[in-house]
Amino acid sequence: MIHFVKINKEEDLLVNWFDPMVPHMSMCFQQINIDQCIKKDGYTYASYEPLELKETITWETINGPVTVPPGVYFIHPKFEEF
Amino acid sequence: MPFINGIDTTLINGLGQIGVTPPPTYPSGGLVVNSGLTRPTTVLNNGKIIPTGSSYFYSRPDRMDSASFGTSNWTKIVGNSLVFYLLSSSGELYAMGNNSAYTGTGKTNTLAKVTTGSNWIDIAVGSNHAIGICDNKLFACGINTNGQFGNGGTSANFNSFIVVNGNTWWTKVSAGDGFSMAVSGSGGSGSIFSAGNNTSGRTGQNTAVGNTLTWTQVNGFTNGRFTDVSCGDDFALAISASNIYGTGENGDYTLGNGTTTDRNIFGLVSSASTFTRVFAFTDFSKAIGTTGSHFHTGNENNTRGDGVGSTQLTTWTRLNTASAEFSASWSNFFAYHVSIITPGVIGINNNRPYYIGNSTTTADWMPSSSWGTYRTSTSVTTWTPFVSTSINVSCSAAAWSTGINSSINDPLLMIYLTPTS
Repeated sequence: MIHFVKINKEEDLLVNWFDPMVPHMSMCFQQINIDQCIKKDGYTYASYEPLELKETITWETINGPVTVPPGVYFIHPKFEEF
Repeated sequence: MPFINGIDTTLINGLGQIGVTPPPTYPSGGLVVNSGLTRPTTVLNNGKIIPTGSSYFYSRPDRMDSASFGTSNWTKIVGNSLVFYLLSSSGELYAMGNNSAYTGTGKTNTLAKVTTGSNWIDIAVGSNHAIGICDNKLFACGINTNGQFGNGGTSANFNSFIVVNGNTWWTKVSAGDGFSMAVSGSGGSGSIFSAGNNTSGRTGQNTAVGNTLTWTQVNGFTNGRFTDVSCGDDFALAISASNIYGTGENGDYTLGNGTTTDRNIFGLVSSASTFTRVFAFTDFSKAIGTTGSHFHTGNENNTRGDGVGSTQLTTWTRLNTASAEFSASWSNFFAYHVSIITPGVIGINNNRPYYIGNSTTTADWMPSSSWGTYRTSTSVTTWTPFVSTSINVSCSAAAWSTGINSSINDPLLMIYLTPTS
């Protein structure tokens, strides 16, 4: 499922955000520049796809294993669904 | 008058400027290199470097101090649109580029030694970052937006290399568009770790979203061991037990498993058990078989070399026609995007004239009078001699090129010549 987040300027696309349940990963927007963003009702939206796990996954990182149960992660606090 | 291996470098440059034929004497051995930048070229002669080319991006010989790097034997050259790196047999890394931030030295107009660390054993470049192994640790320079350094962050690092993992077990690295892979263990028998942009499943981390910020082991191999790994733009290939495994974007059959379905985790894509090396590029991939044979999947602008311009191969296929494979025993398909090497043979798989340094689309290795002029790309559909006959004889080597890609926007290329004697 694609989530959308309202942005104001191109620099907003540079942000990474995190989820403590998946500490070895980050999330970012799919767009690189503002021209790629979605325009709706006079607003500009960037999109991302949250990490959705249907089963438990263990990643063997160089710092040790990271085990994450099923769920949806990296949900942006200001996301919207169209 | 500067001489390198008996060659008057001023003369070489002069010939390039006035566009006459190459000098009659060409040094035996060595490498012929195009840096991967958009115009300059470099000739490596018996391990010594003779820069030639245009004034663009500071590649002019008079801006390079050949004496300062004339004693090394170069073992690897990689480049992208920003920088190129040369690795020496004595563990030295040199860099030059059109943007000082990406050279690891903070310099652009001289081929400067990277002073970080003391013993470099590998170097790779992605679209906007470099990753290498020095003192058996991982080092990186450039953009880190997607966490491709694997150091847990996304901060870029310019003008110098930094340690991004301090373990001393690394043996090989590869880099693609926003992601990296590194191999651990001695003797090439360890595990593959990846970091960076997960889009399309290129990192093999069982997801196609987000970024992997920390070096994380990939799965999917039957025995967990590898013999080779290669990152393309947005996919990666590896060899385990002489079979090819792939992950990532597959819309152009680049994984060679007969489908266009992306993979999020490494999976077996060819079980022929005959492969020794694999090379991921943009919309095509190549592999070398145990007999030096030439395998291909996908396609991109004549890169097959058999006269087929765009028809894609959907599975790993040996190009065993004379036009596609020759009689050569392939040992390497070099460079991030397009460039081919065999033992004693140059192959250039991107023949933008200004990359190759020839004024026509057919053959020659010297820069032309209009070297600095941007030229229109022209296709060469089959393997075409690149080095002139005289040079070929003196070098005991031949060079071949095929393909064209005017759409590649990240002109990564080198030309590589290793003599057979």
